[in-house]
Amino acid sequence: MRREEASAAAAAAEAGTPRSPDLHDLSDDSDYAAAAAASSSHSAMRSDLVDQGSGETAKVDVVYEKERVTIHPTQYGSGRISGKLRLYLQQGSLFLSWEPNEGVDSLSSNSATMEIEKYRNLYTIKALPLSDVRFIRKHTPTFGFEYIIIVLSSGLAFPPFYFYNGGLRELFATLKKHVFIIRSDDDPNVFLVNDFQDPLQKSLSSLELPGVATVANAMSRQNSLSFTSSVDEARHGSDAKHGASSSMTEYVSKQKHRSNDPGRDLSIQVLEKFSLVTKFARDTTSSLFRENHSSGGHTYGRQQQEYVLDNRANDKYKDQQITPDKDSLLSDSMESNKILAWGKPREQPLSVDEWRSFLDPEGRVMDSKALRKKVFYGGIDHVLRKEVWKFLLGYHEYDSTYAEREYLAVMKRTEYEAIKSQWKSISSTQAKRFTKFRERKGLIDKDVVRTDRSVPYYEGDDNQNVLVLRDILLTYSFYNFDLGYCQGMSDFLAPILYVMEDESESFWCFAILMERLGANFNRDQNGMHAQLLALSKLVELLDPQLHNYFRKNDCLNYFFCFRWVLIQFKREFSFDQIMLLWEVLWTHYWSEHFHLYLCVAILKRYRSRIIGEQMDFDTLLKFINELSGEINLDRAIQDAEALCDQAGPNGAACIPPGTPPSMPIETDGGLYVQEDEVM
Amino acid sequence: MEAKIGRLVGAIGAFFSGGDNVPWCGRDIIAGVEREVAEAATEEHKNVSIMRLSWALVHSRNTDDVNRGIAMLQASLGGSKSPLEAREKLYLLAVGHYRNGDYPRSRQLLEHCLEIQPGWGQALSLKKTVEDKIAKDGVIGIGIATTAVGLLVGIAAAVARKN
Repeated sequence: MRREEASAAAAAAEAGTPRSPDLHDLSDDSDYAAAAAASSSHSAMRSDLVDQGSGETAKVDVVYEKERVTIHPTQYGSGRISGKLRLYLQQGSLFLSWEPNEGVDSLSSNSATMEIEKYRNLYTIKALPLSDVRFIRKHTPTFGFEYIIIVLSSGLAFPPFYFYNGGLRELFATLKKHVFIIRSDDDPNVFLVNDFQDPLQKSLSSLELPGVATVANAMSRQNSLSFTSSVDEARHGSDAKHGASSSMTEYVSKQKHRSNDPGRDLSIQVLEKFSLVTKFARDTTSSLFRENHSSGGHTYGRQQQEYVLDNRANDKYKDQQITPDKDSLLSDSMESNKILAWGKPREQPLSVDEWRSFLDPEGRVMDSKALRKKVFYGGIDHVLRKEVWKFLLGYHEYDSTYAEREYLAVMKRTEYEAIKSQWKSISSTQAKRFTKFRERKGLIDKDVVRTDRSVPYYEGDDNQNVLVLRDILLTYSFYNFDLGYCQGMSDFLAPILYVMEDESESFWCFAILMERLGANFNRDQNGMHAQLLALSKLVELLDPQLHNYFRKNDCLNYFFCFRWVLIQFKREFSFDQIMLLWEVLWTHYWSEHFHLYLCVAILKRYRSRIIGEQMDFDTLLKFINELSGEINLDRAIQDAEALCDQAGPNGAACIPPGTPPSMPIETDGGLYVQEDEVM
Repeated sequence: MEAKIGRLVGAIGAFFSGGDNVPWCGRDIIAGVEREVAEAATEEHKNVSIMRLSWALVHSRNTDDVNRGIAMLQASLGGSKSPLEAREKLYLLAVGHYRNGDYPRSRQLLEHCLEIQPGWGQALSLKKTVEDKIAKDGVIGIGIATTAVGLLVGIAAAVARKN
């Protein structure tokens, strides 16, 4: 209660009409004149602020400056970085900068010093235009120091800035003089800059129904309402008005659903009230603790306790590692047997008769989940791959008919020929002036002659299929010119062409696969980083001891699994096996990221050798590469299934959004979308 | 023998921690993804990396990181172009508030998640965890409140008896 009173008082103090940004009016204000004089003296004393490139005309007026504005990259006191926050005017625009102080705390150890230096450079703000700021969140705790979080229009936020010398009120007062800034209607601690929310917020407020539980934060409430409406619209194919009424209907039905279980909801709500008592007690205690020890340079409280718990966990794992080999071997074999019992046995491939039973008279797949389950556990008879792979990859919709699919094939062939002619029509004279084309063609020519040559379909000289492979890859490099061609793509295309035996259909199946896996080949490797990060989280969840071993041996980047992930085990299994594995992966029956669980399963299968032989990174990498051709595929799939089941939703929570092969999340800067929605 | 004791201790720990398996992200992961944002080659890559940074921040042990992640998600929630994306961000907001100990708000956000996609395993799992936490804290709160009332009654009785 005291906390609420404090925040209410702060809100009352901050209340006030924002001034007009008209500078001409402000020039008459005597206070502003004094401030301007002070700013002039500041700029005179600090000539380094003047941008040399701008010449004499660039005058910098510092309108706000505050020392001891601090960030906490780590939870330790020694990790704090103190700096100077400035607001200054330049060529009529307001800019913000934060520069860390020079020098490092002498109490820090060497490694900590290097760490802090890295963060110092990472978080320095040189010249941030206030027009790029979306909102500023202010936090005034009952105990401890005030801080703000600055959020940009791009959705990126800087770490919290703590004001150890106060001055937060003056900061907002200065901001109000120079930019349009208003307090959010729903959260008094959020100050919207360059606000575009109001029209959206007002229109969405009309959808609000009395009695519906509200989220404290307006943004999440508005947008969840918006998306409920959009779901309704998509479902009914109707206009916005009908969407709104559907939304209201849904809320009414939600109320009914809630009343169906009155006991549970009531008890949760009662316990929620009492949990606030606990939260208040806990927060007060931890704040007092932090306040007492902040001068000592350490942060205590929840984080410290959690860290201590983590240390104890580490100690436990360390003890386990000291366990004699005999016991560990026994536990390994027991664990292996347990895993074998969990995975369902492999089944026979999908047969022609079974496939026909999945189709209705017009050719639609009636139960795609049952089909995917069948393929997951048994694979596909080879004569059916040509047809079924098109569904698994998404080239054919499950509910498409025979007639629709024939029409699609004709349309797509025409489209493919059009794209192909883009590079076919380039003469040798033009090619001399088309460096990127020559480079890509050279890369492709080198790769196709060494892709799967041991497979009869691609063996021998002057093989027509190799030429088709090359043509498809060249066409794709024009179809997706931004991505182009990268080594490894031919490894994905070769089995597809072998199955499809048709140039156009192979191209489109390959293109759809690249929609999901193209991020593996991005120049900045962000797709690979995401998968290896998720893999490390899954190992941590499913085998903490192995994870601990990798951490101690500097293997946490999981680069030894790079090849497994990049080309989805293409080099680890035979050509026939890889077709089976990929159709299992493409079902997405257990997870879109089943290949990562497969990685974990293989690592766990060989963990006793990895840990027993104390492999370092180089040895581990060599060992992993030499596993090629040695892995039992059926057993690995069963193990992976067991692990995926064991991990459940927690496994999915370990995988960041947008990790390949999930379809890429389409995001734009919030600013642009806001404008579109306002129109 | 030590292995068995270790496993037993782990089992007991899991029981008392209520099966909290929401993953943690260490400082090195956050710094790595941060660098990825800075070095993103295209606008599309940058946006994907920002989303991943939000994911890493709300899973951090550091309260400052969690608050920063929450602020980023709130800012970008308005920019969601699809229900799938909004549900992802609502879930991460719920994780952030859960990490901050603000269980009621986390629960509300999860309910909005489940409006968008009923039956989503991740949200259902976290919602159960959050409700268990609320129940546990509620019971503790009842204890605190009861103790306080008892103290007041005792003091009043003592004062009355003294008079």
